[in-house]
Amino acid sequence: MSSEAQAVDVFKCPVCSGNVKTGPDDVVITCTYCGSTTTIEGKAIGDHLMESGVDLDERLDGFRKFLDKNKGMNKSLVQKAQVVENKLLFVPVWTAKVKADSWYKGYKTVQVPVQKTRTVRDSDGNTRTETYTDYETGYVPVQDEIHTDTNERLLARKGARFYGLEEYLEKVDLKNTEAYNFEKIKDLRSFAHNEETELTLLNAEIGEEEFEKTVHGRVADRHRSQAAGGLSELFDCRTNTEVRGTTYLQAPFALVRYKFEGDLYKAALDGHTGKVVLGEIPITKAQRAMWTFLGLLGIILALIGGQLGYTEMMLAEPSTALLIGGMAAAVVGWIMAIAGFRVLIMTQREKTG
Amino acid sequence: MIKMARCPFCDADFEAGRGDVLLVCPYCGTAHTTDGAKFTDHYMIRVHFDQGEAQTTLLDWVSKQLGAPEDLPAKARFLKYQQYWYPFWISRVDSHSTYRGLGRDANFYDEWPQRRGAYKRIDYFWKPESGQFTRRHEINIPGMKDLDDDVKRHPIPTRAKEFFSHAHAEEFDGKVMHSNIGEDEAKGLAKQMAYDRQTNLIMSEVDKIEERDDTNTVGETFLVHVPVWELEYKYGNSKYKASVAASTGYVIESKYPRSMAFRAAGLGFGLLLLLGGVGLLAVALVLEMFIGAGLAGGSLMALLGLILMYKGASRKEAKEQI
Repeated sequence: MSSEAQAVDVFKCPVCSGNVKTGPDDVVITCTYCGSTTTIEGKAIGDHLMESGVDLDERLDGFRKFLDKNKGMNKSLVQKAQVVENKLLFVPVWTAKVKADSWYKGYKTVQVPVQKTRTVRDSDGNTRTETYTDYETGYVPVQDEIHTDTNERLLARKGARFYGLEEYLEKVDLKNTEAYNFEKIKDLRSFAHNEETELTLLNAEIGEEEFEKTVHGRVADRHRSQAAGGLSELFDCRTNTEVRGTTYLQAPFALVRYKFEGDLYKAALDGHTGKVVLGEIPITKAQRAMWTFLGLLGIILALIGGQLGYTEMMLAEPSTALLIGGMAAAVVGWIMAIAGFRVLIMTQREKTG
Repeated sequence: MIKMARCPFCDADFEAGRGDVLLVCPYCGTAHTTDGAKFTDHYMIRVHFDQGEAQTTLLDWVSKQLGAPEDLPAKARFLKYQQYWYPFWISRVDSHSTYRGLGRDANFYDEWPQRRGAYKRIDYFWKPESGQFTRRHEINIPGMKDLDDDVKRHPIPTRAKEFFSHAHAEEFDGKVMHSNIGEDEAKGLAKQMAYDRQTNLIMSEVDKIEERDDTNTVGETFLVHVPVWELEYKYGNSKYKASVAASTGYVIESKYPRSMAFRAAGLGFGLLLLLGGVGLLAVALVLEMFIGAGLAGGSLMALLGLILMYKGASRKEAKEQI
């Protein structure tokens, strides 16, 4: 059992001297006994904040409200949904204000109207010249700047992916935070595998310096794609960033898995408000049938509209109203048919809260 | 292909594949190289879903897939259920690149009088550019070359990794796979991948690299074993395979049956729509009757019919999106 001997990575809390079990890559440690947070070298972290979390039942409420809002014609959704997992994780998040200034250069093209003349021969055989408008390409050099000042958040874990986590991080707001207080959150519960468990606290694997580097890259990439968006070609884009007010916080993220008619679905919740940020919604047979019916109606509409529009188009003096009406009906029919049949073959819906 | 290896720590004999260079003794759990050197940076991800839970989660998840038979959770019988521990190498690489290259730029000539700021001619030229990138890369290399692509791509869960515990793997009769990539090879691959990522960064700035200078320092490199349930179940007369992440319960991938009723409905209804659509198109194009209806509606019906028939006929595999 030689590999077992060193199998625990222990960090001694500099505040209460408790032995904290840590992951191999953790760089910022929150003591599981007294809750104080330090770097792995034992140095204090400047501001350590948290968003408080809500307990099991309140999260369940928020989840049920989400189901209720998205139930559509499936009236029994809230009643029949059976929650099998309701987990709360306090995830480590770095936040900062990032002021970014970019200068970029490129060009775009525009269509320039050009008056031209041409010679035409009329039915009597006489020639005359007439002017007409043509369009030619114009190249517009562009040099511009982008200035932003945004709140950036980054999950301080490596290679981490959870369902709905990206959406959740968008909701993390310094306004909702308070000084980190372990006492206040330590009794919050999770539910999994048919029993109540404790919440999970994840330590940071990404330190402050690495966060600032990453966030610079992210904002610079965003500026670059924004600059490139309006241009035919981007020649150059240079970004300077200034990161300030870097703050470490522990944010509550909750995951719910639920069963509906024997099938398994999931949802991600903001553990601070107890509201769903992203979730899967089942589609029942009745809903599929209804959408299919809509799709069939769409086909009929497309048939009638297409025929009407075409007939009108072939007339010597078409009625504009009928022509446009027919075409519009055909287009609406197409949209209805595709939307309807799409629901028929979808596994589930995904809704943001 | 199978050869025997002897554990230098507990003297047990065990099986190892020909290409395996980093072995995990199935008796004492010690990770070591084929030369007998002990490897200590060895971690694992803890199991949170035992066999029963993994199977239930799989069936509950699969049964919502399109066309899966309703009695699937009741009638499916598991033929195989083996927990595998797959090795992954994780390396941290600190990269610093300075480069000199050519980026595109342009001069503009002959302004359009009627549209100030727009020019008639554009003339590209190459402009020397230089710069540098400093990045820290996390590189993840599967320790087995023939590992399934979906398992390879599945994220290693964010839960804290722990030092490898052989007892924990034994609890579930887990089969700990040897790595056929050694530490040095993993570091070499990580370095190459970091270099490629740096190249991509530079290529976003310049179009041609004329000169570059790179330092890629491979830092902390460790081996982590990730538990996956490899399951096979029988429904009707066919067998279906599935992989479920044992730590999170996510379905990495699963083949699943489609009910006869679903297939018949998809094919039948699809064919009906397709024939109707083609019929209308034929009437429109050949007989030149109902041309508008044929073009607008017939093509739509034919398209939807094809999609439905495809859905009815295809064999299916599903993956859980994270």
